[in-house]
Amino acid sequence: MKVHLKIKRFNPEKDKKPYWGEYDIEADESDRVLDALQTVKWTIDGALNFRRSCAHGICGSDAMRINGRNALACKLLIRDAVHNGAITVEPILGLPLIKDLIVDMEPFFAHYRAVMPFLVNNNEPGERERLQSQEQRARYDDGTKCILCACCTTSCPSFWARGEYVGPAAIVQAHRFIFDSRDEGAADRLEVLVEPDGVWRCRTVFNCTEVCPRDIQVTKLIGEVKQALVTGKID
Amino acid sequence: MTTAGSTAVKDAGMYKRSTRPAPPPRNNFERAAWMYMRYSGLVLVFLALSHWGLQHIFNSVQDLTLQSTVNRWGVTGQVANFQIWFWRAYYGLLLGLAMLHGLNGLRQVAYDYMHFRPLYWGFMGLSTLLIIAVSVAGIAALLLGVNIAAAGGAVVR
Repeated sequence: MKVHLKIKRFNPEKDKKPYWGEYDIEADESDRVLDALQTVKWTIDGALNFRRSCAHGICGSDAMRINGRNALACKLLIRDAVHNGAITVEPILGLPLIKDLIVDMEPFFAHYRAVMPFLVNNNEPGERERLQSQEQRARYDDGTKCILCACCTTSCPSFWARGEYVGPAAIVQAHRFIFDSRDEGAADRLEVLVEPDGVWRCRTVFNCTEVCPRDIQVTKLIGEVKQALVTGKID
Repeated sequence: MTTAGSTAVKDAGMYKRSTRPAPPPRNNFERAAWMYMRYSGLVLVFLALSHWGLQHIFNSVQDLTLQSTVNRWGVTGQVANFQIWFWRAYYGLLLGLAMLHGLNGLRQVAYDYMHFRPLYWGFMGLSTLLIIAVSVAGIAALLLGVNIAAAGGAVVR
C-alpha cells in the first residue's frame, strides 16, 4: 500500500524551527511504523534521525508521537496508524529537541534517579536470598513492566506545562519499590513524591495509562502512591 | 522445585514484610490542598445540585422572585429564626467551599503555567483579593438579609 508520511524534521545546524518533511513510500499494512521510517532513511533521506534499538517493544528507544498520540514505532502497525493514507510522526513532547525525532532524555532520567529506583535494604539477606510470597510479588508487578520509554511522562499535560514535575514514569518506578516487601527505602521515596512537584501535580488525565505500550495502569499506581502519602500505609 | 523447597516456601513466617518502619502520613500544604479539593468537591456536588434542584425543579421559574429570596434570607433588621439560620449556613457553606475550591484550582493552574514567579505571585495576590471581596459581599448579603427599602418595598415581610 502507498503511505504518505509526514515527519517533523529539525536540524539545529540549518533550521530555525522544525518543519514537516513529506515522503511517499510503499509499505505492507503489516509493517510497523518503524519500518516505514527506516524505508525513508535507507531509500530517500539518510539524514533522517530517530532512535531505535531492539525494534521489538522491549528497549523503549523509539517512543514518538504518531498521529498525535505517543507510541513505540516498533509496536504500531501501519494498518493501525494510517489515516486516509497518511501517518504523521513527531518527537515526543516536553523534552528538549535535539534533532528530527530525537529528544534529550536527560530531564526524564533525572526524575527517574530522584526516586531511588533500586532496592534499598541494608539488612543481611539471611541464609539465602530475600524471599517473597506470590502475593507480595504481585503487589508491585505492574510497575516492573515499565521499559522507561517515556511515552507516559511525555503525554502528560502537567509535565508539558511544568518539566519539574517528576512525571508518571518516575512515580511508577517509585511504586515498584515502595510496595516491594523487601525494600526499606519507601520513606525516602515518599519524601520526594510529597513535594509540590511530586504526585500532587497528577490531575488524573489518564493520558499516561492510555499510551503505555506495556499496558501498565499508570494512573492507578500514581493513585496508590497518593494514598500511601495520605494514609501512611503502604501495604 | 523440590519437596523440601516447596515446604520451605510455604512457610508463611518467611514472608513477613521486612522490618522497615511504615512511613507516617506526610503533612504538607500540597497534601492538605489535595485532600481539601477531594472532600470539598464531594460536598459541593450535593450543595450545588440541591441548590439547582431547589431553584429549577421544586420551585417553578415563575416563583424565582425577590420574594423567594426573602423567604429564605429574611429582610434587613429581621430577627433570624431557625429557617433563616439554616439557609445562611447552607449558602455560607456553598459560598465558602466553592470560593476556596476555585482559588486552589486557579493556584494549581497558575503554578503549572506561570514559570515567572513574580507573575505567579502577582496573579495569585489579585485572585485572592477578588475571592475575598466576593466572599465578603456574599456573607454580608446572607447576614443582612434583603433590604426592602432598596427593593422598593415589593416584598412581603
